[in-house]
Amino acid sequence: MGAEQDNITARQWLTRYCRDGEQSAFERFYRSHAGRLWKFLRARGAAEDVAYDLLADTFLRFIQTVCKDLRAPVALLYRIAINLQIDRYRHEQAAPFDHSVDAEAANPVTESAATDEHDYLRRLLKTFPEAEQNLLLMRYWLGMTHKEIATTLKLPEGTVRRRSAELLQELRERWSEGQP
Amino acid sequence: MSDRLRLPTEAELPGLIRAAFEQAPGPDAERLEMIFARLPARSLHPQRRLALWWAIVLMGSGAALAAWGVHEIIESAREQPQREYAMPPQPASISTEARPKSFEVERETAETESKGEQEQKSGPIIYLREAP
Repeated sequence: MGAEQDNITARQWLTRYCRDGEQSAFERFYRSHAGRLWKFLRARGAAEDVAYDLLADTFLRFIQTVCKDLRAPVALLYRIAINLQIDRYRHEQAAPFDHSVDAEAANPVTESAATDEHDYLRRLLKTFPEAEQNLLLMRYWLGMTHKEIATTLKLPEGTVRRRSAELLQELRERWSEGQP
Repeated sequence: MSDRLRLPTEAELPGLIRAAFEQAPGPDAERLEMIFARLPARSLHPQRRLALWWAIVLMGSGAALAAWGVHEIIESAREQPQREYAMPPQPASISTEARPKSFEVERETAETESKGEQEQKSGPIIYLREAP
C-alpha cells in the first residue's frame, strides 16, 4: 500500500511539475527516488561512479519524457535506468555483470547476524538471471505493482504475477541449498 | 554461511529482501545534490508555449495596428491645411468690388471687340478695304 501511495504522490508532484513548471515539485520527486534508484543500480552491478553517471542520465532522460505520459512515472524511471545500464554494458562490450566482485566491495560482511542474512540474500539474488533480478527487486524491494513491472520490463502482466510467486519459491530453495 | 542462517518462510522473504536492500550503503548526498543542480529546469508545456506565442502575435499585431492608426491621424492632420491652401477661390465668394480696375478695363475692351466683330459679321458690308 505504501508503494501505491508513493506512486500517487509521485504523480501529483510530477503533474504540478509538468503542468505548472513547478521545479520544487520535481525536486521532491527526485529526493524521494534518487537514493533508491542509485541503490538499485548498485544492486544491479553498477560500480559506484557508474551508478552516479547512470542516475544523472536517467533523470535527464526522465524529465524529457515524463510529461508525455504521467500514468506510471516510477516505472518509467526504472525502465530508463535499466535500458541505460544495458546500453552502457553493451557499449563497453564487457561481460554483463560481475556481481560477486562488486557486491563484495560495496557491501562488506559484518559480524552481526542480521547483516549476514541480508548480505547472503543480496548475493543469492545475484545468482538469478538479470530479468529475474529486476523482477524480484521491483516487486519485493521497490514494491511496484505487477502492472508497473509489466510496463517496465515489457512483459505480460500475467507473466509478471506468476513469475513473482515462482521466483520467491526459487529463492527459498536456493537459500536452503546454500549455493549463492 | 547458509548453515548458520535460519531458512525464512515464503511470507518472510519479501520483508527480508526489502530490508536487505534498504540497509545497503546509500549514495553520497552531496553528489546527489550536484546531479540535481545540473538537471535542466522545466520549460513551458507545449500548449502553454503556443498560447504565449499567440499572445505575442496578438500584442504585436495590435501594436502595429495602433501605430498605423496614429500615423494615419497625424498624416491627415498634416494634409488638411495644405489642401485648404491649395484650393482655388470659389467664384461666388469673389465680389466685383474686390476685382482690380485693370481687370475691369480689359473686360470692357474685350466686350467691345467682340461686339464689333459681331456687327461686322451680321452687317451688309461683305468686304471693306482697309485704308492705307
